[in-house]
Amino acid sequence: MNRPPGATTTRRGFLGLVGLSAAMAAGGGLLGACSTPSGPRPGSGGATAAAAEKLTSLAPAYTPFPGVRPDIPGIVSDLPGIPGVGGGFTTYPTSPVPALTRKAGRGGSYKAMTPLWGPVPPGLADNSYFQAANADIGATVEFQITDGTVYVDKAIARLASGDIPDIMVIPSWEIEKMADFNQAVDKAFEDLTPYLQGDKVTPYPLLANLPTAAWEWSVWNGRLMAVPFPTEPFPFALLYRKDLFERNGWNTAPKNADELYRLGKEITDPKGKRWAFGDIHEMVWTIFRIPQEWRYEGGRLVHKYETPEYEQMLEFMRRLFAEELIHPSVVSSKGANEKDLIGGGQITVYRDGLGGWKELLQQHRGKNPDFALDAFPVFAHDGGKPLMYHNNAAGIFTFVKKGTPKEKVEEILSILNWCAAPYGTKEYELSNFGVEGKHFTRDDKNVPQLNDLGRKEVAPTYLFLGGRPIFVDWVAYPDAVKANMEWQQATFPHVEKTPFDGIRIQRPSRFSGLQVPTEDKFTDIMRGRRPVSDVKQIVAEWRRDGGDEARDFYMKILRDNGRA
Amino acid sequence: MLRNAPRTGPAGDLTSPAGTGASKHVGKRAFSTSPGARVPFRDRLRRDWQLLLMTLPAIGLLIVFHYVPLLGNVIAFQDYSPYVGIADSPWVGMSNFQWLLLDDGFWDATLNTLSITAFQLVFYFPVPIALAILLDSVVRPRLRVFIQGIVYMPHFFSWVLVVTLFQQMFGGAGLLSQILRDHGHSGFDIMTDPDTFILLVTAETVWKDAGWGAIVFLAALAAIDQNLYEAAAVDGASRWRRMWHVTLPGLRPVIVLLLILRLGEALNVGFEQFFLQRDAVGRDAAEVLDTFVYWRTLLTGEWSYGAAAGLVKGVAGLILIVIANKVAHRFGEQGIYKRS
Repeated sequence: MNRPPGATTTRRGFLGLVGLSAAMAAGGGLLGACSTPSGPRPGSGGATAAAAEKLTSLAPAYTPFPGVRPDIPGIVSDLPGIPGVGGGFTTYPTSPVPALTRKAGRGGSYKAMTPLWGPVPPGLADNSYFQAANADIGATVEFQITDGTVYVDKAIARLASGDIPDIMVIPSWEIEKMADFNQAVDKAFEDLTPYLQGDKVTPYPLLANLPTAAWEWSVWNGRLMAVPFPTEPFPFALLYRKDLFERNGWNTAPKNADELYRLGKEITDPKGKRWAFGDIHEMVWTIFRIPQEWRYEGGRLVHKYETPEYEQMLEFMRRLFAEELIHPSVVSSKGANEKDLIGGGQITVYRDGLGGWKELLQQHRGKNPDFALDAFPVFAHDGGKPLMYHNNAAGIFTFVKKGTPKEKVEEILSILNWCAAPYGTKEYELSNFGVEGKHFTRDDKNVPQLNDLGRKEVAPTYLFLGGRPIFVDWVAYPDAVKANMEWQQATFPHVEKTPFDGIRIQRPSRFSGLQVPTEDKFTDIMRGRRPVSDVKQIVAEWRRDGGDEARDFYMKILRDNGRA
Repeated sequence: MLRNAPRTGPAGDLTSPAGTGASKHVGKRAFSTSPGARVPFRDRLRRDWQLLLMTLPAIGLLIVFHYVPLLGNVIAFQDYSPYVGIADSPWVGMSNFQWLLLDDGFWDATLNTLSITAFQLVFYFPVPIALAILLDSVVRPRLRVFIQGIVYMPHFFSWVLVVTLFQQMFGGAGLLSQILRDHGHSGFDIMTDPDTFILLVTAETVWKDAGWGAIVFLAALAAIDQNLYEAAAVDGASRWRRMWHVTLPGLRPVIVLLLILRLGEALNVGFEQFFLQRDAVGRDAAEVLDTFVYWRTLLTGEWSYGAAAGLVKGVAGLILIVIANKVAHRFGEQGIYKRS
């Protein structure tokens, strides 16, 4: 298989003809009449990588905003590309101060497309919350709200038709589904580098307050294209029902895989309609110290599927399934609502993002004042040094329509600067809760609570324009804020340093597409439908269908960045 | 498009079963169906213009929402990118189809789809017919309407709800398992057994759609001439004889019609039902063509590849329909269409 040297990181080079001969051999008898396809293999697009130093030079200069300080300090990340831990607030400031001294807008009028996961509020004309926020901004932002679950369809349609709103928000997980986004981004959106790079960010102090790592993820084709929404560092944790654990005297800090298993045995009681675990699979990866994607050892990249730890993890999960320690509804259905199950005590341990912690408290503490959660301290299967995964530094991006005149781009950035006002400022309060007395009132802890009009009109809209530093600000649950912050601080030193940290890589869509068919096969092993000995064969198929080619692609990135 | 055929197609078929000898609807349109006697176009136009006018809105809908989008299928022959557009995307000829035919996953999914279709043809298709005959025999109208209401209802539930209900009844933490455990037996879980998955999905389909499917047959039953029953009874035919010689022949055109349409949809067994239960039983049992297209093409933005898969499915369905229709004509049935 001859490929021109160095072609692996171009759009069409990736996975050009890999696996063809194997597939021909497999299907050859049946398809003898078929000639070799002349076109590119479907799914070969979209792969790029941008070097770390280049990214840093494009980012705006970081200047922290001197606002309210969190009660519980966070951790500033010194790891390239990895977000730090934001601080925690256990109280709400008595009198939030304005972050801006001048009006953000100059009377312009803009349409902004944002996702929303929830009921759509009334439009601008009938919505006093939008009107109040726009009045404070000094410009008219009119939202075109689209259901978040089908957002990608709408976004692709608008990008393809060229009907781009002035301001467009696109979540990173949707961008991953857009095979040719690299092409789209240049055609549709304005290059923000001339406005924000380095010291040029000075007119927008709240944008300068966003972490550099998040900005680095806003780079496409060597240009700063979007304002990022920073993320928290950890994708998930093992959450457990603290109240039930304490009442029953269960082990709240398992130290190895065996202790976790024994905990499962102790808790599970099908007759009492109680199972130890919900979906914990992805956290078990970290327990077995499986690399987040690749491990670089001995001058060679080893994919997580190829590690011996992966096989050990499969055996462990297989045992949990076989001994029925996982709730049957979780086993048998995609739609199982784990939040209901853990709320009702039908499961006691499950994997969720830290944000799920707050949602559960909101759902259940009202009915059950004892309801409490905590996260297991991270541990490794053999009792050794634990490992934890990390998120990419930005989760959602805000783009500006291409061809917008300079002064309009500046006004839009100024509006995004307003939206970026952090926790504890007047602007933050207005964009999150509306107007005091009209949309919200303060409770006895001084925390804003929406009233009926607020629940009807206030929706996360300005919240999705740009982003702001992340804090654990569940002031209604100070106990949970403390527990969460303790967990984050204890876990941060165990964040895995991957070979590619700081490099902005867009995975080739074919390689992403390989994930589901391959993990289906591993799922078969976990569920006991295939023997564990099949792992070798599954890995061989993965290598044949594109895994090896992906390794070449990633190796080249390492070499290009002087890391191999 | 073909799916709409029972609604937009010859509605008369449902009420006046052609080919059964029932000829009470032979009115002024009779001469158009009798072969040989051709009426000039202008005369036909003058006679039928009101009818044609009435079909215009439906034709408009078909053109706008079916025929025009159909042209988009050209992307199956391109390396299409939505941001570049159809006009500028490079042409790749049959390449996407070649890749598709080399894809093991595609063949696995096709095989699963076909086995599920075949299984349901035997174990689901007759159920609405039996149900309709059963309902038709309920004499008290109130009771009948009540039962009908109950059996129709599940049709309006979403698949998420249906799967969840089955889960709550038959899953490992479901009602049945819990009752068994309470009585000292061990629980069971049919929701995660890949070997019986085909039974499970068929059971779900029967529960959800059998009542709805019976409507068409009930309409056909209502059109059967009651005199035939009386005549048969006078001749001493038993209940079973009457069903065999009067009811079933009366239903035959509708049965054949729906059978043909079902064959045309042989590669379509639905998406949601399988998508929702795929993890529970694994890809080997639950991957059908629609989920294959979703995972392999839509999720990775490979529109051309997906369009190619869809086109293959459509062409295969068309071929099956044409063949089935031919066979129906052989047996003297009207089928879904007939050249006049």
